[in-house]
Amino acid sequence: MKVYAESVLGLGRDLKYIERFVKTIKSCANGVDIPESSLGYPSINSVVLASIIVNVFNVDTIAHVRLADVNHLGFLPLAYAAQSLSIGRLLVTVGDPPKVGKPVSYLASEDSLKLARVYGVRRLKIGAILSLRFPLEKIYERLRRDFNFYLVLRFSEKNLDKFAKVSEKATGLGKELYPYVIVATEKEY
Amino acid sequence: MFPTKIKYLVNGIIVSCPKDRRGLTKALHAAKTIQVKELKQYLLLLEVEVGSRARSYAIL
Repeated sequence: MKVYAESVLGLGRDLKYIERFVKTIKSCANGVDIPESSLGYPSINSVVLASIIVNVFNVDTIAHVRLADVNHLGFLPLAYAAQSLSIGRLLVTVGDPPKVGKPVSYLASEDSLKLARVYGVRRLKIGAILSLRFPLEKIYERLRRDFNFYLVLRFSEKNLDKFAKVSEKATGLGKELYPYVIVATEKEY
Repeated sequence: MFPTKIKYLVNGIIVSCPKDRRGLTKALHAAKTIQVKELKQYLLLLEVEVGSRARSYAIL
């Protein structure tokens, strides 16, 4: 089981900060998961950040792309960059409504996957969000899509039995599952 | 408690603690210990409603 540390970096975070962060987590995590503009607030571009973390610090990453913010030509350069710059996995998600400007929203996750494959992005692992709030049939239907991996929401002790069934199905289909675990501390909860 | 069997059901987990870097590091160490030693169970998984969202939380 790999352990990824989630990292969201806003304006004012420089290369030294990134280096400190990577050094801190390197001994206890296998990689870094990098959301793009969480909750619709702007952050450092995740593909750029992932490229630095992979190529400068040699740590695995999952980079996210928010489809609410890009059209077809906006998405493809990000997918090209991710594949060309050795970013292991690219997550495509519509994302929360932007807090700055209006959503573009031309692409759903499946559209962006097809677009990337049609335009030659074959080696890059592309993934999507999978929420456990849906019934099993819907979850299985999503697992059968051509995504390579899924980041799982609503993973909790209550639905572990359901998750075990999802895991069995995913294993049979050769899909990777990475549930989110949000740590509740005094500052966070 | 965070069942050790989880590690057989997932390819990995993503540990999130955006407002508390120390909490993140502590959780990562706990997750690693589960991975390596399979002895102790550190994390309690909860589903919590935050606004319109339900998120999974782990309490150290």
